[in-house]
This record gives sequence, structure tokens and C-alpha cells, in this order.
Amino acid sequence: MSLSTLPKFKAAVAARPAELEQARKNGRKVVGWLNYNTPEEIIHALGLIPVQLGIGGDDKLVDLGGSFISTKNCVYVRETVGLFAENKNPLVALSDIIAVDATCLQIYRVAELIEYYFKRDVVILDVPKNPTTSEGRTYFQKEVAAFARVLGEKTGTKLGTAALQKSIDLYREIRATVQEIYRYQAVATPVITWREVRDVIHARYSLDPVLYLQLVKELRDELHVLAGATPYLEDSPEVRIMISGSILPPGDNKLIQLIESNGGRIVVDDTWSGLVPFLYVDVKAPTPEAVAEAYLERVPHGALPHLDLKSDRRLKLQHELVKEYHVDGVIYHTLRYCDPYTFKANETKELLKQIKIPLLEIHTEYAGSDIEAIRTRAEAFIELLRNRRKKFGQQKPKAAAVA
Amino acid sequence: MSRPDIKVEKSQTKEIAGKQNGDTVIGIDIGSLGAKAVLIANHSVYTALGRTGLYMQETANDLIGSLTDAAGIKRSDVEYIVGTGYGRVALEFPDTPSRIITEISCHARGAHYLLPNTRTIVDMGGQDCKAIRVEDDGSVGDFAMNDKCAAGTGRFLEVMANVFKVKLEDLGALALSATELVPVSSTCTVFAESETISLLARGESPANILKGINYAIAHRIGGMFARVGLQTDIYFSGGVAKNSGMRAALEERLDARINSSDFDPQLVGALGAAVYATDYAN
Amino acid sequence: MSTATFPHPPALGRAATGINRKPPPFQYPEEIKADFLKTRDIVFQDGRRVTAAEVWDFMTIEAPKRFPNAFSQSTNFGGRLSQDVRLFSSLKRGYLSLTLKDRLAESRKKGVPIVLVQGGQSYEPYFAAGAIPLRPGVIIGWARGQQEGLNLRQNDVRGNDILEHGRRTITIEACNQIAAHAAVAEGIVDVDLIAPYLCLRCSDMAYLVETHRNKQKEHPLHLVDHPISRNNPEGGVDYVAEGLHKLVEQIDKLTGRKTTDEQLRAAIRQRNRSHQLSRKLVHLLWQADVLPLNGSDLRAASVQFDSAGDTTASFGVLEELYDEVTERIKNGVRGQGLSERPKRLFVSGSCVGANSAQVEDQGAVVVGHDDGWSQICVDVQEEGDPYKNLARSILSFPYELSTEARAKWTAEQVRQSRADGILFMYNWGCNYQTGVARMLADAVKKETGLPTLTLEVGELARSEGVEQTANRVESFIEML
Repeated sequence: MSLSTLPKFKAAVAARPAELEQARKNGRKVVGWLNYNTPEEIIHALGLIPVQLGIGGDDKLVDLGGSFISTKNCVYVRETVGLFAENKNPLVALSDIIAVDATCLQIYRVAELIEYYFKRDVVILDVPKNPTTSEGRTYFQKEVAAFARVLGEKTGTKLGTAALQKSIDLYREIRATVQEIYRYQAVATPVITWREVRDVIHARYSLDPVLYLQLVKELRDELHVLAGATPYLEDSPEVRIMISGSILPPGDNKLIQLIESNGGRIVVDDTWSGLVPFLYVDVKAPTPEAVAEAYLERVPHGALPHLDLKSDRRLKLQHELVKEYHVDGVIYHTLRYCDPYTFKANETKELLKQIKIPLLEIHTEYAGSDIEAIRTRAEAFIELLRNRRKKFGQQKPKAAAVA
Repeated sequence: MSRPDIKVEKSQTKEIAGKQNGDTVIGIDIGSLGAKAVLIANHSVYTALGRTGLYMQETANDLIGSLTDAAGIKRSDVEYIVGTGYGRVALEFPDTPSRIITEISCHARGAHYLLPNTRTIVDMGGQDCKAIRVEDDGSVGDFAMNDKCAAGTGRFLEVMANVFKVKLEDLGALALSATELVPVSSTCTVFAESETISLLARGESPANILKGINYAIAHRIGGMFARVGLQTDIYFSGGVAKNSGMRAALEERLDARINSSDFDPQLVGALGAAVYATDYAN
Repeated sequence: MSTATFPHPPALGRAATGINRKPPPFQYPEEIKADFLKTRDIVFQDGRRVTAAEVWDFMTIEAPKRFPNAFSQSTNFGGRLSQDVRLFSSLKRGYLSLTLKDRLAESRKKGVPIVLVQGGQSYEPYFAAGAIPLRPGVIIGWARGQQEGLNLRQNDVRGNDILEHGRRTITIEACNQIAAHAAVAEGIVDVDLIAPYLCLRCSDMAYLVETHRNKQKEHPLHLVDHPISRNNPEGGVDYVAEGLHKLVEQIDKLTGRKTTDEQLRAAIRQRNRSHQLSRKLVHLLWQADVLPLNGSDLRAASVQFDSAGDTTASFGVLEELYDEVTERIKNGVRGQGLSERPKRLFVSGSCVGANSAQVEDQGAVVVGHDDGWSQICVDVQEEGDPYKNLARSILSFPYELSTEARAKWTAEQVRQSRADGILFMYNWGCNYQTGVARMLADAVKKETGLPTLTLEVGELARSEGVEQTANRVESFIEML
């Protein structure tokens, strides 16, 4: 049974570059953004068009980018530089301004490079590495306010309270609706797959948010009809896998394919190319400061350090999702040279061991040269998980190790 | 049909004598360089070892043929075949029930069958190295494989044997004769190779350099064990297991004794595949 | 085909001397002793004095026994003692390095907190609060030195083992600083607090500090963030100032004292004095017709000599160096080991250095570094809120600015140092330097028109240089 809304997303994404061109002809400006904490609400409220940039899996672009940055930088970072070097990707080519937040410091350096080598108009939003302290929060509030001001100055627009409230509400509804949709792929006999939901999530990168909200609501309603209003998460015959770690941006499908072709079923992820950006964003007032607060309140990206293990919300979320989605094992995917996630691999594994959940680390790049190596690992891991099921049954893990 | 490169033997290894219960099954391990197969038949174990070459299915068939000949049975007597190794995806056996299982599971099962107290395996093949933790029942508890590039494959040791102009089998003894350890890079095989040549130019002895190389490899293996946890007894499998110098470096790095048996460590994966085949045959 | 000939045909290559596998250990020669004994005492922060005689005895009798690795003369040894034995301040610098272990043990007994920080950051708050900040390079040396009596090779194996431990437990892709963190995590050395500044020069520092959070033995952890704040500079200053307040509070918790603003100002003043002298000295050196110092001594003039763990002692030795240099320049004395017209190299990059002995052997000399020098070029305001003043200065270190701004400043240093070529070096695992190396090199090349070489180096925990680096540097020098 195929869902009728899904092709509409595809069509909308295909039509988007032409729309953007038209919008620009009508005097509107496109702001392409990179990284994880750029506040789209503000870009949108300023009357600008936010577009999330960044794709993966293209070895040619990685090589191209690697000559401007270095082969010792994260592949995603290299590909991003390659995107700008080539400038053929319509979203990149049609962006008037590039907004980059500094969550991941390697992407911050990309911002410098694209300014220098490709003469792009770049606005930088810094993100504090002490985000839970009062001074970190004060600093970020000022940063976001400055970001709004600078963007406004560059484009001759001004941030109005009413407009901001509208944008905040719009994005809140988008996030809530996507969260709802997400659960449907994880039920025992789903009518939508994890991959299809991933495509829906990635469609958001380029689509107009108003249209996007309309489409996700339509999809949600369709799912209600086909699968009931409250999707029930439980065990299922296939081995249920969670993907954690570095992002799997649009275009990076290698690992997903290798897992699925070996009979593994992905039921949840806590990556920033998937579920996490939709969680826990609660903007309490139509001000840049309130937006800043809300962004710092959400579950942080791994590039934001957290020095106290017990209060680490990222790990807490991971353990919660493992329980909620009846996960058998976690595949911890790290990109080569993605230090924030790679450094924490062992720790993440040890903590999951405490709740009896096995973890497989897949450390990879975009080149196809390691497909067999990854296939073997994924296959062996799924064999391991199947075996455990036979021996231990589908036990629910104990209470989360991280309080 | 004659394959001079295929060596067939009836196993005399005492550890596996008497464990067979009348099944007739085959395990095949197609590696990147070496193709291995084990036949369990007539309450005995037969082994075959050859070069993988370019045509994996043909090689698999040749191995099977050599084994059935040695055991005096017909091809149709084989009840089940399990394929493993790098080349497993290429295999198909239309006339016999079969499946493919990763070499990780097969190594675990094989080593456990051979030495039931095995709880950890270090496997160093031509292309990669693995650390496998084995459960009491021979299933895989956890595993890790080497990082891309980092030193630690059998191939690297072959290259070193060439640099030092010694036979691969003699590398072990050479390293054991070292008088001191010359630290060598462990981050990159290519790097380590050119470093080796420079060290030779500087007058360092091959034995000392080789000891450094073994230690660099052992460090990377140690890295895998930091992921997987080390538990005795340890078994060393793969072609490199026959290298006494590498074994010594590993024992020192892991601070534990490594078990051995006279069963060819290169054949453990195929053995495990055959044991899995007995499960499925029944 | 041109028939012009070079006026001075470049003398390529160097003498084929074969391998000097085991040169005899270095020894300060008796002939200099009499003059050395006439030099000034070393004075420490707590007022303690050490006479030249005591320094001499330590460096000629005790140290060679306890730390034979430091006295290796192998040219592969990047940390070789300067062979310029008549430069007496150099001997004293060596003394401060080799007595660090003992002085740290003494300080521990007195309850002085030891703090793991990073290189390239400034240290006033730590000293003001009565702590000793040690950067990873020093920590690694301290860890290796826990076992005495080792020769260079054995010392290297020990350092390598510590590095490999870090790599095993975290990842092989970490830069070699992981060795310092592994040494602390394993308890090979003991620190009381892990609290570096998060400089932009190091994109991994936060994650290295994070690796301590799941350890059995819990060290207090603290990060002083380094904001980018392009559009909000005052906000950045406030943010850093507050981070520094909290850092000082953390140290105060350990000492049980309260550090006053005036104490911090005093530390700032001391630092300013030291850095102003350093700048004066370096510019003297750069302008000299005949270079009076070789590479390793030149470097000492331009970095904050923090490996002494004592700012008063370091300053005293710097003053002595200044006096010696002005005397040498007056008399046209050349630094030991330098060729007549050495090619001048400038090195850019974090946590890196070229092997002075090898470079000089090939007819060149390293005249400047940007790392470590950057903060010496910035004074801290002495009046007013010391935290805000420090924050402002930290945020204006040229090395920490945007890459374009950093490039402009680097080009200026290259010009002032009259360098003939620039080496851009970065470490295995360093995401920051690798990321900006090309852009930096392009920008600096554009400004200066000089030849550049970008190369990856590695193995910080080892003293013996890796051949690949030596090869490339040698080719570059031949090219010059």
C-alpha cells in the first residue's frame, strides 16, 4: 500500500529550484544555511527564504573539496566545500547569503573558505561551547540577536514581533507533526518505512515551510486513516536497529542499504540528519533571545561538549529512545575525522552495555572502497543480534544508566 | 580440474578428534588471497587450502571436489554447505542446501569448537584484523575490526618480508632476535613502510625494526580490545598466527597467554562454517 | 638556453658522512665552567635562589645520570640541548626544564594545584591563583620522566606506549595530545584540575577534556570558551571574562584562598613585562646582520617559557638571554652551528616545530614561529577590570582571529623576520590546522611572494624525528 502524499514531497522538491529562481527574480533573498543551530524561525520571519544545505555520499565532491581544505578533514565537511567549489547544486547556487552557525568548528572553517575562495556572502552565528552556563546562555542570546540584526541589515529587512511569532508557531507545528509521523515507521507492521520518513525529513531542507507543513499534515492524516491515531511501538520479528552518531545527510545511503540488505530494520535514530532537530524546541516568546534559549534547551549536538556525564541529555535521549522503540542494537555511525562523535564511541558503547544493548561502531567515509568491509560488520552484527534474541528473547532493557 | 595449489589433508588434530557425529557437511571460507574449506564426513575432519584466484565459484567447487575425493564420498552426499569470507557473496550451490554467514561468526564458532575455553579471538588475515569476543556457547559476544589504513594486516607483513629480504615464515624468528625496540608509526601502513626503509638507512637492524613493527600492530590490536574487552582463553587465527614474533608482541601487549593447537589457524573460519553447517543440516 | 651563470652557485646537499648511530652523550665542557660560575643566580617565585654553581653541578653530574635521554646528541632528536655552550642562559633554561619534575613534586607537597591546560593560551589567571598550568607537551615530558635513567630510545618507547594507550581507549584519529590526557587518565602523572582555554587553534580540546568525564578518578573539569563573536564582540568579551572568573573560582576551591583582582593585575603586569622584553629581543634578533643564536635558542626567545612552571625564574633567564644577545650582536658573534648565510625559515602551525639541528645542518635556520609568538605580541591592559582586560586581549591574539586576519599578521611576521621561505606544518589528527593550512598558505604566499611548503608531521610523543618530515624539509631547503 503506497501512500499518496509521498510523491507530492518528491514533486515539490523537484520544483523547488525553479520556485527559488522565480522568488529571487521577485526580489526575495535566499539564505542557505549550514550546521545545526541556525534559527530558521528568524530567517523566515525576516521575509527571507531559509534553505538547509549540505549533502553526502558524493566522492567526487569530496575530492574537489579536499583540495581546498584537506584530506584530513571530515568527509561531510570536504563534500560541503566541494559543493561550493562546483556551485552546480541549485540550492547552493541560488543562495544569496550563506548563514553558518559554529556548532561544528570544522564547518565554521568551511564558512571562512567559501568566503575566501568562492567570494560568498557569509554570516556567522557563534554557538557557545559552555551552553549550560549562565554566561554561555547570555552570550548566545546576544549572538542570535546580532545574527538577526546583521541579516536584516544585509537584506534591508527588519524583524517584527508578529512575524516572528508566526514563524515560531509555524516551525513548532512542523516539528510536532514530523514527530508524530516518525513513530509510524517503527510499529510492528508499518505502512511507511524509516527510509520514507527520512526522505520526508530531508524534503524539509529545501521546501517552503508553509507548503511543507501542509504536506506533513496531509501525510499525518493519511497515516491516521491507514494505521490509527496512536501508533503503538512494540517488538517486531526483524532485528530492530537504532542509528546513532554522525549525520547521514541526503545522498549518503551506503550504510542504510547495507543494513537493510542484511535483514536489519532501522526503527529510530538520534542523529541531526534525522529525528533530533525536531525534538524539544520550545520558543517561549517572539524575541531572538527566546529563540536562543529554546535552541540551547534542546538535546545538544555532540559537538557541544558536556563535562558532566550524569546530566548529559544526549545520552539520556539515546537510552530513552532505545527503550521506547524496542531497539535490539545500536549502530554508531561515525564519519572519518568527525572527532566529536568518534571520541565518544567507546563511552557510548560502555553505557549501552550497562543496559545490555550491543553497539557496533561503523567508521567510514563516502568512498565505496569499504562497502565489503561494512557489509561484513553489519551482517555480523545482525547475526549477533538475532542470536541474542534467540537466547534471551526480546527483553526490555533495564532503566537507563544515565539518570 | 587439477589444482596443484590445493592442499588437502585429513586432520590429525587431537582437539577435534571424536567430536564429529556423522554429518556430512562443508564449510567454505573464500578470503581475498586464500580459499579454505573443511569437510566433516566419516566422523573426521578434512581440510583444503588453495588460492582464491579470480573465479571464486570455480575455486569453491574445486575445493569441494578435492575434499570429497579425499574422503571417498560423492558430491551429492554433502548435506549442507555454509559459505563465509570476503568472497561469500559470490557463492551459490544450487544442488545443496546452503547459506552464508560472516567470517566473524564462523571464526568464533570454529575456535570454540577447537578449543572450547576460547573466549577471545585475534584474527589477522591478509586484508584486515579482527578482535572477537566469544560467548560460552561459541556465539559472538562482540567484535571489532581494524580501522582503515592503520597498520595491522598480513599483507603489511608480506611487504616487510620483502623489504628485509626474508621469507614470510622467518619473520617471526627474526623479530624474536631483536636487541631493542625501535618505535615505528602505527597510524598508517604506507607511512610505516617508508619509515622502515629510512630506519634501515640510518643503520637500525632489521630485527629491531621488525620488533617495532610488531608492536605497532599490537597497539592497533590493543585498540580493538579496548572496544571489545579481553577475556581468556585467547586464540590467534588467520595466516599471521603462524608468525611467532607477532604472537610474542601480542602476548606482551595483551599481557596474556595465547593458546594454540596444531590445527592450521588459517582454517578456523572454514571449520566454524562447517560446524554451523552441522547445525543447519539437523 | 641562457648562458648566464649564478654568481654564487648554490651548494646543494651536504657532506655524506655516513651514519653516526650512537654519538657520545652531550656534556657541558669544563672550559666554560669558570665563566659560567660568574653568572647570576636563578631566582624563583617564592624567593628561593639557585647559584650558578648549583646549576652547573646539576647539569653536569646529576642530570646526565637521571635523564640521559636529554643529553643525546643524535641529530634526529628534536629536543636536543643547544650545543651553543657559551650561551649560558641556555644552560639555565635546560636546568629549569630538567628540574621541573622535582619542583613539581615539591609544589605538590605544598598543595600547589597543577592544572592541565593547552599550549598557545595565556596563563595569568592560573599563576595569579597560585596554580601551575602545564600544557600537554610538558605533561608528556613529565609523564615520560617518571621513569628515570632512560636513554633516548627507551624514553621514546615509553612516550609511545602512553600515546598508544590514549589512541586505544579513545581513537587513533586524535592528535598526539591524547598522550597527555592518557597520562593523566592513567594516573602516570597527577593533576588537580583540567581547565584549558578553548582556543580556536585547537578544535578538539573540548572533546579531549570530555574524555575525562567517565573516569573512576574524577578530575574537576572546566572550559574557558573562546567565542568567535564576529557580530557581537562585546558579548564575547563578557562571556570570556565570566569564564575566567569561574576558572579562578575553581582554583580557589582547591587552594582554599580567594584570588583578588590585584593579584591578577600583578600577574598581568609580570606577563606584560616578560612579553615586552621578548618582543624587544626577537626584533633585535630579526634585524641582526649576523644571527647570534641558533634555532633552538631563537625559539626560546619567542615563546612564553612556560615549561619552567615558574614565571619569575623564566623571566630572569629571559633577561640574561637578552643581555647575552646584545653583547653578541655588538661583537658580531654567530650562533653556534649556523652556516655563514643560512636560509631563513618561518614555521607556521600549532604544536609543531622543525628539528633545529637538522635544519642547521642543511644550511638553514628557523627564525620564527607564529604559534606561541602570537600572544606575546599582544599586551594586556593593566588598569581596570583584569578579567575583562584579559578577555579582550585573548580575543585579539592574532593566531586566534579569522584565518584571513591571521594570515595578514603572519605575513607581517614573515616580513619582519626576513624569512626566505615558510613551512606550514600540522599534526596528524589536527582538524583545525589541516582545515586552514591551504587557505593560510595561499594568503601568506600572496602577501609575501615567498615559497611555502605544507606538511603533515606526527608523533608528538616521540623525540626522534620521522624521516618523511626530514626529507621534505631538506628538499625545501635545497630548493631555497
